[in-house]
This record gives sequence, structure tokens and C-alpha cells, in this order.
Amino acid sequence: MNTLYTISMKELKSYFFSPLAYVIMTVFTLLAGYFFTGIIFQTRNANEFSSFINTVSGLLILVIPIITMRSFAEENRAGTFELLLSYPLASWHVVLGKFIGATLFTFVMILPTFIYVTFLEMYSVPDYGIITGGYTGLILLSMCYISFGLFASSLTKSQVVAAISCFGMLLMLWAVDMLVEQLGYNIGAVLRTISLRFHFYFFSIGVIDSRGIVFILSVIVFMLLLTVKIIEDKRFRS
Amino acid sequence: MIELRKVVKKFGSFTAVNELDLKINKGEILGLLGPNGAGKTTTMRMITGFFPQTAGEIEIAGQNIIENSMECKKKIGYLPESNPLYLDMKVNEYLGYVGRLKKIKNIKSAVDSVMEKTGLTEMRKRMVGNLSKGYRQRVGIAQALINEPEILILDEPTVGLDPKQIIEIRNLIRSFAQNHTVIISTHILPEVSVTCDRVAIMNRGKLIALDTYESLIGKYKTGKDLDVFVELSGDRKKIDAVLNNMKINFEYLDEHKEIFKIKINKPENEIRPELVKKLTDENVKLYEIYGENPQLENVFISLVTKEEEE
Repeated sequence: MNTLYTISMKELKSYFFSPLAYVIMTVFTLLAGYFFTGIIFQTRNANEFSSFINTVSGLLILVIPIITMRSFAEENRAGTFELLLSYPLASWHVVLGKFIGATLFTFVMILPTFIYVTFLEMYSVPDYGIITGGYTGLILLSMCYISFGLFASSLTKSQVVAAISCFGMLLMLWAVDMLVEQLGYNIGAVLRTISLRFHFYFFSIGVIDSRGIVFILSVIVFMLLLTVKIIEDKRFRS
Repeated sequence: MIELRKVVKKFGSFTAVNELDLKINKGEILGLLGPNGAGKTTTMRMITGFFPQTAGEIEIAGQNIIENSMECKKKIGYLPESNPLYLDMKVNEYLGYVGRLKKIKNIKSAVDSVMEKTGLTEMRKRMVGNLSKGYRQRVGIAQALINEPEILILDEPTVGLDPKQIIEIRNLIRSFAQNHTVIISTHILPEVSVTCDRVAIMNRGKLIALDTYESLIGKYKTGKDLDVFVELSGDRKKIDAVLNNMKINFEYLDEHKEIFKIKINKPENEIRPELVKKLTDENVKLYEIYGENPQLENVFISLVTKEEEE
């Protein structure tokens, strides 16, 4: 427990030591603000907050790979990973610690968007179901993307390769939804249930569905386990 | 303290370490020598648990490193060859981080005492990335030492340092000798004679020599392959005749004094007894005859080339 805390705090701290973190947060906040004004001012409808949450979830596909790209790739490149493995800690400590660190950073990044909720409160009667559901979905989704990002980063020594491969995976997962209509009913139904976008949609309209929570959490666990395996496999073969 | 039994490490079809048997005693400093690719780093990585061996067994203080990896890792301090550090942390922060990962109880006093030992106290608030190479090396050694490990494994600890820093680091390593078992790998041969109790020479994954520095040198101190010096006085012509008769390749060093000094260039066989006899038969006054004091370089090169010829 102590080890996890140590690793995740170190990860969080080192995010704020690099200029990249500030660039990411600035870009994210600017774009989120642009979407918010665009959507809410045009529709003049507080319930359109669900469209805003949906757009932000798309933005995460772009941002998360950049947040997670250095986690393992940089340690692989610099050789600090060799040292880390000589300490008395298990591989899953490292993976989970980095996961928590990246998740906390993402929370910090999403935090300023709560200002928009106060705007809605000031000028309208917002539906808190949509807001709670939307943020629950957003947090689950970003954790899910982070687990993909860590997996991609553990595969390589290059941050660029890690970012691009993670971006590719996330984009493909997003695009699965588009196939649903074109394929027949049976395959379409299967694809729909494994589509992150499908599950996220319910959160964004304020429905907190246990199926969605279980599905996304199990994807996270699966990807983290895969990352642990990759690390161990690398050690055993290298 | 550390025992390797028939340890093999293969990378695909390449065998990096081949049936290595090695026993290192408590409180000993062992120097691991060998040309590039001899398997020194691989051996160290197996002991630190970076990767497991393909076959054979490694025990640390009687515990198998595969079965009790956590217990074994707690006993080890490791400085990898490239001295990887997090450049975006301050020295005391970094050491505190390592201390917490190594599960030390009293972090603050451990960090302070290890900085004191390695001479980093003044640099405590500096970023690791802004330190000079010598200080970074100290940080690397400090992180290895912070849990006061029983075993210290240093992969080329003095590489890339200036002579003054090398001496400082060597003294540092020497000062740990009483309480720690130390394994050092190095290319720098004089380093071994200064710091190590015993020397293990590896080549192509095999141990080809394991002994104290003195006895390794002693075994090699024969009349062969090393220059022989003779100091004598007498008739130059007689001396020349004797030496030429023996088909010896020689040169005069101090020929203008009463006592000559002759250097015989690397004789192929042991010539000293025969030479002494012949010279005294000719009534030449012989003052001294001695072989060049061999260096570890000679031992190393002869062992490695001998092994490769076989």
C-alpha cells in the first residue's frame, strides 16, 4: 500500500516537472471551454451538457496517449526500469502506481470544467443526473484510456511510438460503433456491447448503468494485467 | 554469502553465461574482469533479479533468489552500468523515493547518513539532471547503499570519471568492505589490485580464473613471455658471445657504467638458470638477474587468449 502511494505520488509529481503537462492542460481547458460555449450558447439548453460531456470524451482520445506515453517508454529508454526491478517490489506495484499517478493527473486536468457546472447553476436549473452521470462516465472512460496508454508505453522505448499506438487503439475502439449499423444484427449486437462509446452514451445522458461500470472496470483490469504480463515477459526473454 | 551453481543464461540461441560456478564470501570485495561480452553484466543482472537464469541455481545468504526474490532483493544494493537516474528529481527527493521503495523504516535519517557517506550533503537540493557525472555516480552509489545492503553490486562504478573522482570512489568502496559483500565489474585493471580481495576473470560466459590478486600475479611470474633484466660487469665481448650463442634477443641499457644492464626481450623459454651458469663459467660478475614484475594486464591477456585458442 505504502509502495503504491510512493510510486503514484512520484509519477504525479514528475508530470508537473515537465512543460508537457502544462501544455496538455492548457490545450484541454481551452478546447473544453470552446466546446462548452459553442454547445450551450447555441442551444441555450442546460441539458445539452450531455453533448458537451460527449465531445470532451472525444477529446480524451487525443490527450490521454500524450499523458501516458512516457510512463514506461522513458524508463525503458533511460534504463531506470532495470534499477526499479532490483528493488523489493512486484511488477504490479509499478503498473498500478503509474496508473494511479496518471489517473490523478487526468482528474486535475478535468477539474477546471467544474466551473461550467457553476455557470449552469447560476443561469439555469441544471439536471444533476446528467452532470453526475456524465462525470462518472468521463472518469471511468479516462481510466480506461489510461490503461491502454500504459499498455502501449510498456511495449516500447520510444514515447512517440507509444503515443501513436495508443492513439490508434483508442481510435479503433471508438470506430467500432460505426460498424454496428453496417454489419448484420447478430455481429452488430456483439460489437455494440463491447463498444466503449455505447456504454459511455448512457452515462452521458445521466443513466449510471451497473453493466457499463462493470464492463469498463473489467477492460481496465484486463489492460493492466496485460501490461504486467508484458513487463514480466520482457524480463524473462530479454 | 552469494553462491552460483552451474548457472546458465541463454538469450535465444546465444549463451551469455555458461555453467558458471562462483562462491563469494561475506565481507569480501570481488572484482569481476573480462573483455566486452564476457557475461559480467549478465551475471550481475541475474544476481540482482533483473532476469532469471536459464538453468542452475543462485543463492543469496542461503536463500534461492527465484523462490525468495523479495527477501533477496532487500539484501542487495545495485548500481547498473549506465547509472540510470531520474533527472527531474532533487537529490534528497530521489534518495527518499528509493528509500521508500526499499521499505526502509527511518527514511530521513537514512537519507542524511547516506548523503554524508557519499559526500552529497552539499548537493542535497540540486536537481539530479544538473549534477556533474562524478556526483551523479555518487547518487547512483548512494541509492544502492541506502538500505545498508549486505551485498553491493557495482557495474563499472568508476567508468567516465576523472582520476581524482576515481580515487574518491575507490576509497568509498574500500570503506564499505567491512560490513558489505561487494562485487565490482570493471575494465580498468589497476582498479582491481587497489580495491579487490579476489579477482574473477570471465571470458565468453565462463569463469577462467578465480584467485587473489597476488597469487594470480604469482602464478604468472615465470621466466617466459616477460622481459628479463641482467646486471653484470666483465668483458663485453665474452658477454656478447654467450648471449649470441644462446640466440637471445637483447639490448644494453646502461652500457657506459662499470656495471652493465642488459634487457632480454621476452624469451620464449625459461633461460635464467642456463644463462647464470654460462655467464659464471666465463668469469663474468653477475650482480642481479630478475624478471619484469608482471601486471594484471599480462595475466588477463594471456588467460583470455589462451582460452580463446583452446
